[in-house]
Amino acid sequence: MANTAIREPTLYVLSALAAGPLHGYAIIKAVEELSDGRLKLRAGTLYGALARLQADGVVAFDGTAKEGGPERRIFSLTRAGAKLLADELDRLEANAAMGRSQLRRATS
Amino acid sequence: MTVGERVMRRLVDRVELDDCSRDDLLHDAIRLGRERGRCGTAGEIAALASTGIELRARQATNGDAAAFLRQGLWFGGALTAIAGVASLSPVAFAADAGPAPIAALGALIVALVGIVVNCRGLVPVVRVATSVAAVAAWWAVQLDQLGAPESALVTTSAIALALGARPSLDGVARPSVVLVPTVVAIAVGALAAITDVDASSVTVAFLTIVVPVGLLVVSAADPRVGVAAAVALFWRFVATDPAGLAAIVVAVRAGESTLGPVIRWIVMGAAFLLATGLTHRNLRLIAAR
Repeated sequence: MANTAIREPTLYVLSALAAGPLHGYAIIKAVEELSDGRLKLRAGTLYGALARLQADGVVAFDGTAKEGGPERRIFSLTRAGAKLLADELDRLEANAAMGRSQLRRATS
Repeated sequence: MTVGERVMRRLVDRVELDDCSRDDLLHDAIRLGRERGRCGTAGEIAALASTGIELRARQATNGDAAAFLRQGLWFGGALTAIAGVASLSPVAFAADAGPAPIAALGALIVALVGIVVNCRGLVPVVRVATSVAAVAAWWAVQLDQLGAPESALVTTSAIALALGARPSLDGVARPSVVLVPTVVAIAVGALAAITDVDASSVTVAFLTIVVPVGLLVVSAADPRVGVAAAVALFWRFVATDPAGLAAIVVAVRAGESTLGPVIRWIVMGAAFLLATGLTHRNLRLIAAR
């Protein structure tokens, strides 16, 4: 898709996966923790996003795992996904730096 | 298993994912619903429904904004064609009906059958049939057998279907078990209105006001239905006769008329603009990751 804008929930999902492969439920819990409880993803929302990200080559299946329950599919960030996340974080950092510099100019 | 969890299972069965992902999705939705209580379960159900609709729409369009737009126009053309059947039926089935309204109705029914069958080869038939219906409806207006708004409804449908594209679900999904009977039921309901002008008006109002409002709610997950709503609301706007508004305004100022038609025109224009704006926003959101 031509438009590469990233929505906030997707940014958190990619950030959660940046630390290592996770299954769906673990991604939801990681996003909740990373956002200090602000973002509580629904399962439907997460799997819809994962399907989109997988189609775009950003996320991939990475085997299965069994942790005291049924066998779960594990997702991991691809190289393209890691680059997308890094680029987005660079863009956010640049925006934040620009905003802070404008604030300093206003207060000086 | 609770009622909410059974609903979740039904919804997950219809989500366009592979079987393993579906199992994981259902497992996680049930687990989160239990953790987050009744509101959490309701939220999981809403998210599952929304995701199911969104994934189906993406599969039918490959996530392409132009495809969303063109398929939405096709849905809008179908919706206005159904309303057209309801609108033309009382005139075409009247004892003194001329050939023009009968030809317009017949052509619209042929087009509707083509839309419901949803086969690639029938697309030209649908377009030719609605064009014939539009010409016949215009002819009926010239003969004073039909009102201009009814003719505009058929023309709106013909233009939307000419610009639109049939949703291509070949090899991916079967015809929707909800959509097809709904379309057939509405078409049959419209035909049932043939002997009763009031029932016909109510059906047309339902299809071009109530249904579009419902479609706008769903359009966050599937912008195609937002486009369809905009098509129907566009006709409501045109049917208020913008050309005659100046004369109405003059009559209102002279105290010879009420403000009713002007207010209706403004409301319908605002509804059309709202539908267009919402759909544009939803198309942008769905293009983002």
